[in-house]
Amino acid sequence: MNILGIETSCDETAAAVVKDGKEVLSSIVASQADLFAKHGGVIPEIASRKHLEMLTPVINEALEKAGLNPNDIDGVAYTKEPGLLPALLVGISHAKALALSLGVPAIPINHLEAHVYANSLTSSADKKEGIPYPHICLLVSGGHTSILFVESPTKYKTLGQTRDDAAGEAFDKVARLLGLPYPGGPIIDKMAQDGDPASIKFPRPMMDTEDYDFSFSGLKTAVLHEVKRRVEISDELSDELKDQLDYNWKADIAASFQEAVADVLIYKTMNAAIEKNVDTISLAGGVAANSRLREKMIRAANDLGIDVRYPDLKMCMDNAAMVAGLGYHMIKELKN
Amino acid sequence: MRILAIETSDKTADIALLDTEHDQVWKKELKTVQKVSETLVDEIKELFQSVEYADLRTLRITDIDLVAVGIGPGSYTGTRVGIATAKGLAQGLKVKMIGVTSFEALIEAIDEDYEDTEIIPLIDAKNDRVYFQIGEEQGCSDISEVLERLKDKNYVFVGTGATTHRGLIAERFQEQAKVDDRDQVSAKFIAQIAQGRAEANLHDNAIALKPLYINKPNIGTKK
Repeated sequence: MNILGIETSCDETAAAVVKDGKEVLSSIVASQADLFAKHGGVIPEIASRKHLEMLTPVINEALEKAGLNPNDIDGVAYTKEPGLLPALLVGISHAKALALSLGVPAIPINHLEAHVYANSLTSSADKKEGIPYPHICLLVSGGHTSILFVESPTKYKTLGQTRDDAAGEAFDKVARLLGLPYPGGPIIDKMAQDGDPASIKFPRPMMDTEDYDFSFSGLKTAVLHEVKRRVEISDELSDELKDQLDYNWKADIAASFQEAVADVLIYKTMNAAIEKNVDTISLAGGVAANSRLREKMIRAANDLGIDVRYPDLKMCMDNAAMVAGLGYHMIKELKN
Repeated sequence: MRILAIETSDKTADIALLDTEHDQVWKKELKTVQKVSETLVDEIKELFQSVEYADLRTLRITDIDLVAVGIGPGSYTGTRVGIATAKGLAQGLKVKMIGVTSFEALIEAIDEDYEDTEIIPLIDAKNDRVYFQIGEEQGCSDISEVLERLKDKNYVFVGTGATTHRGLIAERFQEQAKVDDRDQVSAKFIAQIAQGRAEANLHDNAIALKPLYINKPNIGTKK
């Protein structure tokens, strides 16, 4: 069964064809991130205009790359929520109309559930087939930070979530404080490799609470104070020295901030895995692409004999293959 | 030729199906304009179910030859829902598309009643601003500026911009101007205009077709 997936919830226009919920025949993503780099975030009206422009050619390309005609599609799965409403509406409207014209079902998909599902696609980075249920999933993106107890592709419980900023949002905001472009995740990850994660002791928010909730806005404020302090000091330096110091200093902040985020995420995820007695943890969402988070999570989990699964980089970011993959299971459930 | 027309740019969204050979039109006003994105496809299905010819023949969605769509100016989100739906249909059915502006459709709806009078379409853009088309020029300005620049002669004003600012129009032109109350853009006239354009082979590029925004996006303040 070939499902066409459509995703327009934020700033990526994406379409993909997935066979039997597993095999990714094509996955096309047209990113608008460049448009928003200088704004420090996504502007819904601009994103929506771009989606309307890009969606038809992106779907055409996904079909072509999969070697299929529209008539070979057995269902159209689309991201219904959550996301930027005007942006979502472009994909929803197009998907439903396309399904109507092809005489196939249109399947609404929850974007977060789709991210969780990304680990079940065969293109996952670890090359392992399928994923065991139940497992604990850490879903971390620009909009969400949650720990989920996942019982099947279509069934899960939220054990905890962020009470303010999402982890990805914190990365974006810290990048802005450091004068780095949007999106903040990849560039902080890269700069952190040149910095010392132990150089600044940022707080580990909510580490000692008994729940699985997070809070990242205080951490962002701590970074802001650090930046202000540094600006005062560096005012007295020569420009050349300042540039040099600036890079090293930014790298240290990036590394230290990233370390604080990773520590909290890992600590709570591990606790959830132990409490629920599962032997698998999965990572999902854009922040799951963070190299330090992956590395430390694997180390911590392996010590306890827990397997860590994560999608490959492309499948961590917003894409339509995860939407199409989950859509397959939704159709199967409808039929049963 | 069978044309499906979609109009979702203003408050009374509607759809129409025009069969040019049998000179028949079926229309459907959309019940819940606020949630047009949720209901539009179902409404299209229902429109097709309501179609019945004298010989009891029925129509299927795959019998459409052309998708016509209102491109505004009007509500950005509403218009995008209509155009995205039209694009989805055109892609699946492999048929061509034609986009029609609200200005054209408003004029088409009333022009046979006003043979020698110039018709000025005005669409409410909120905060005392209107989208306007005067001759070839399209724009968005304060209603008072638009009225100021018009010469003293007889006009018919049409559209939500005209009915909203009836008082200002009367003040500026007294007896010389009339406001026609048919201020909502109707899918039926979008279908009619599209028919003429299709016969002249003036189809739109289905990828490039987009709303007539007129204004640049409002960037607003970032959070």
